[in-house]
Order: sequence, then structure tokens, then C-alpha cells
Amino acid sequence: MKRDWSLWAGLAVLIFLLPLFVKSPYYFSVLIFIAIYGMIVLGLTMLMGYAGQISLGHAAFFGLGAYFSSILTLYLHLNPWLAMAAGLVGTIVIAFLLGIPTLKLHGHYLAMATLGLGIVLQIIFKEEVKLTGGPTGLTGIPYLKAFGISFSNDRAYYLLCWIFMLVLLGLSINLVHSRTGRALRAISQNQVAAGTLGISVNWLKLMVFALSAGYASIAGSLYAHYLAFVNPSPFGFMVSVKLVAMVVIGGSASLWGALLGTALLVSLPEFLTRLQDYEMVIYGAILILVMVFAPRGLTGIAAKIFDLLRGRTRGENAQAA
Amino acid sequence: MLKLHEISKSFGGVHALEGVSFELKRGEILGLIGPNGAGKTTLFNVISGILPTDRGKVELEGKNITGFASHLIARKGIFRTFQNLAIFDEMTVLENLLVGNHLLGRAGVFAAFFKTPWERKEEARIRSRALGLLKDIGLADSTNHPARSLPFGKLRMLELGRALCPNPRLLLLDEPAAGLNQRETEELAGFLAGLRQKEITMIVIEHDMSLVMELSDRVVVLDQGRKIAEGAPREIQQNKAVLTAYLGEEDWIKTLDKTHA
Repeated sequence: MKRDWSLWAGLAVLIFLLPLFVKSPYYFSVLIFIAIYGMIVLGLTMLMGYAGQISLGHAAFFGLGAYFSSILTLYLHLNPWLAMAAGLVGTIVIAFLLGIPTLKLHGHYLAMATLGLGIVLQIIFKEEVKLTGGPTGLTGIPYLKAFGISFSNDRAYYLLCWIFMLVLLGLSINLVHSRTGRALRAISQNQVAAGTLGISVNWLKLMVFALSAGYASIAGSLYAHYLAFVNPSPFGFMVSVKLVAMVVIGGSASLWGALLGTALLVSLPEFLTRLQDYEMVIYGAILILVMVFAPRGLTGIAAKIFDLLRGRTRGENAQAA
Repeated sequence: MLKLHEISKSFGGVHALEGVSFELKRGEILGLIGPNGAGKTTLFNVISGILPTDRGKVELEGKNITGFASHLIARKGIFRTFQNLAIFDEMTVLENLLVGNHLLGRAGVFAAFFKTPWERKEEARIRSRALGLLKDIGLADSTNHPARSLPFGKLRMLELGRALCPNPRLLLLDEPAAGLNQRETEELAGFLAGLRQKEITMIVIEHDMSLVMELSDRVVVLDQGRKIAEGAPREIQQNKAVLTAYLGEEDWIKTLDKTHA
């Protein structure tokens, strides 16, 4: 836990120092997307790595946040912050309604249910033209404002997004190291044993599922206010798969892995722009390589390097035990 | 305190349990024995809420707890161990006991998010209790080792300690001595004798006859899902029906004879 908070502090310093060196708005926009996707992946990591459940519809919750914010600010002229909060509540309620019947069932029913929700929402985003603007989407979403600052330039928005990221990361660190976090890990390792110790397995799974949907919703709101424009395409099934890939590549039981996985998969296509058509092929290849050679993802590799540097190998550990 | 009334359970056409009834008094230790496939573990699974029963009733201190989910059974104070161990392998030894203390805490997601002073206090209480138990089960040296690095005998003790964390009213032990060597079995017997002094109510499934006969106040024998005998250890050792049930399992008859002599 102490190590997590030192890393957190390190990250915070890095974030506030970075604008001194980086000037190009292009890099800021990449960093903003890392923060936005990073929030979703953070929640998804808690769901997958800690509660052992897979969601194939997290892009849809991301979309819910974005559309709630857009619709409430455009049509009802709600304050953007209020719209964000309303979107958060709305998304969590929808996640609860979906989770209550499905999480009672054993196995991968949540994956199926979220897959279905994603498809249904995608249709709603596209077809409810009056509300969502259909395939062309909605434009003119207002910028976020606070303390007289309008977050309309990339540098200010970069700071705002990463402050959100730091807060969510901090909350997640606390949660993971709490009684609830331990109970979640217990569930993913041995559900039956966890139950016999008094852990309410279904309830906790539901909580963490709703929570992860909430993280995605906040990310969606930030996304809508950043681009000032939403359309259905960034909230489709392929994006949900990409999010799962980010979790797996990062190392599914680590919050830091969530950040690493996101950073890699968001920045990779930026560097490989010429290979755009092969993007999914490259993701697939990376995913397979990670599954085969590093099941604990980038965090697992980092931990191994760290251990090697400290001269601590597995063998010595075993001897010490 | 615990009353089983006509518990029946079948899997497909196989009757794992057929009308099993018995009672348990507070502070009593009940040995549950029987040949393989007699339905002992199934009975534990029914009591602990892992399996629903087909028929019959489970009562704890006069209250019907039949069909409760396993986490609600735990909330009633019934805890168990597993024949094949159900340790959280990827957690440390201490963390396993912290999870065992789950019911001592109440903090939810929001208290955890903001590490409220109240949540910190609760964590400290849970931690100190887990550390205390770690000493009791002799694993204080392995506190921060991953559970999977422990030898089998120590894992048995860890699982036992985990089930003891929240001060159980009733403890169900499923073959606690299975896979242990002579010395470890003796240590276990000593530990269980200590629990007897604390007047913890227990049901113990065990194949080690000398252990079960020494420990138990009373013994219930199951065979093919039915209760075929119940009584003091001495009576059970002389019971014809029991000897017949074990017929063909010569080792067991030998141990029965040996403990009898």
C-alpha cells in the first residue's frame, strides 16, 4: 500500500512537471486520451482482476457517460458538472439493473449480458436521431469551466483529466487494500471458500461492476466535453474489446498495469499510423504474446525485472520460505 | 444447538443423503464417520449452504436456516474447512486470515475509498486479531509469505485458523488430518484438544479413527447416505452395523480394532 502511494505521488509530480517540457498540443491530446481510457481500464481492472468477471460492454458505459453529458447540457442546458454527476448516477443505475439478474448466475453470463447491452445501446445511439443525433452525432457540447477557467485548450484539459485520473487511482488504491478489496480477490481465487467466510459474493460483484461502469461514465463525460462532439462509433463493440485488451496486456490484477496497458495501446497506433489498417491484427498478436509469455502482463514483466535488479530470484525466495 | 431433521439429497439418481437426522449440543464435539461415498461431505455442504437440500430441515438454536446462502450461514456463526483445502493461494498467509476475519468488519466501498478514521480503526482491529491467530496456529514466521509457498501440513493449519477467525459458534472440519504425517497429526490433535477446552462446538469428519475416537463426545456413522449408528465412541467401536459397513475396507477395521484394544 505504501509502495502504491509512493508511485502515486511520483506520478502526480510527473504530471504537473510535464507541461514544462511538453509544448505540442498533439502530445497533450495523446495524454488526454490515455487518461480518459485509463479511467475506464482502471475500473475494468478491478472488475476483471479482482472480482474475476469480464465485461464486453464497457465502451457502452463510456458512451452512456458521453451521451448523458451531451444531451443534458445541450437540451436541458444543465451545468456540465451537474450533467456529469447525473450521467454517473444514471450509468450506475443501469449497471445495477443489468447486474442484478446476471451476477447471480455462475460463469460468464456478465460477459454475455454486457455484450448485449453494448449492442442495444449502439443501436439506440444510432437510431434515436432526435435525442442522439443518430450516426452524425451531436455537436456544440459546451466546455467544462471551473474557477473562471474554461478548459478549452489541450494543456488545461490535460491537467483536468489527469487530476480526475489521480483521484480515481487514489480511491482505487484505497479500495484494493481494504476489507472489500481483499474480499474481491478472495472471490476471484475461490468463490466457494469466500462465501463460507461470510463474503456476499453476488453483492460484491455487483458493487464492483457498478463501480467500474461509473468510472467509464466519468471518462465518457470528460471525452464529450473535450471533443465537444459525440457520435456512436467510439462506443462500439471493438472498443470494448480493446479495453479488455488493455487490462490483459497491463496485467489484470494490477492498477498500475491498467495504466501501462492503456498507455501502450493508446499511443501505439499513434506511432504506427501507417499500419492503421492492421491495428486490430497487431492488438491480437500482442494479446496472444502476452497470454503465452507473460500471463501477468506488463506489471508481471516489470516485477520480474525489479526482482532481478534487486538480486532476488524466485529460487532464493523459496529458500527463504 | 444444531438440529438436522430428515435431510435428503440426491444427485441424478444417486441418493447421497437419505433422511439423516441428529442433534448437537452446545460445546459438543461430534465425530462423523463412514466409508467413502457415505455422504459426509455432502452433509457438510448442505449445512454450510453450498448445496441446497432436497428435503429436510436444518435448525440452529431453534431457527430454521435451511436453504440459506453460504455467506448467510457464515453470518449465523457456522464455519468450515474443506477436505481438499480451499486456500487463497495468491494471497499471503496473513491476508488469508484477514479475509477470514471478514465478518468482524462492516466497512463498505465508501469507507474504504476515503479511508475514514472509523475504517482505519476497524482494519487495525482485524489485523491484530489475525496476527494473534497466526501465532496460535504456529505460522507467525510465514506471515507475509504467499500461501502457495507453504507445505501442505501448514496449509491445513492455515485453513483451520481461517475458519476460527470470526469466533465460530459451530465449526465443521472436513478431514483435518488427511494428508498429514504422524507428527503433524499429533500437533493437530493437540490443537483440537485446545479448542475443546474453549468449548467450541464441532462436527469432525475424519478417517483417522484413533483421532476421531479420542476427540469426539459422540459419533455418528453414515453409510450410503443413511445414518446407521450414533453413540459414544466406545459403543460405535463395538457396533455390528458399523463393522459390516466397513467390511472390505480392512485397514479401517484394523484401526477400529486397534483403537478398541
